[in-house]
Amino acid sequence: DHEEKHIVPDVTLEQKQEIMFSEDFRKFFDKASRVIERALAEDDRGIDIFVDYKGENLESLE
Amino acid sequence: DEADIGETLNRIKTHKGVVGIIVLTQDGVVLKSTLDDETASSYGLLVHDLVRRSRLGIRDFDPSNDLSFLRIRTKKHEIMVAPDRDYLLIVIQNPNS
Repeated sequence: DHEEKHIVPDVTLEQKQEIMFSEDFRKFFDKASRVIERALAEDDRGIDIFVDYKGENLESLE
Repeated sequence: DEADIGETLNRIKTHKGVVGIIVLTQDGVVLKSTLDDETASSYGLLVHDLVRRSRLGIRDFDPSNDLSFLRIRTKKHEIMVAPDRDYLLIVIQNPNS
């Protein structure tokens, strides 16, 4: 059922540490942080798809 | 180790407009975050739900496909998600800052 309410499991601090020490997590984190940093670097170049060229506020077109 | 993770999160946080970063498990558990616990877990729930629905939709459309990145722009902020099978890296940005 798509609408079922998700219950977040209880995880202790120790269990979280254990996850973060795992090889599996390291691989994920290295890759994911690289992708995120690349996306942020693009943003830092100042390219904003909503930039206001014509004096219109494109973010409130409703 | 964990210091490396913290260092990377701090570096990400220095980018313009970054409000917070959350590392989430696929179950929606917050492993680490730069936000307070309450804010982190409510963003966590929101993103967990968005990712789950997006993934379902993409796979319904083409079972050989999968979600590789999710980026949502709203009036108030932008959310970036780098997902894999077990974990999610989430960045919340305020693009107007």
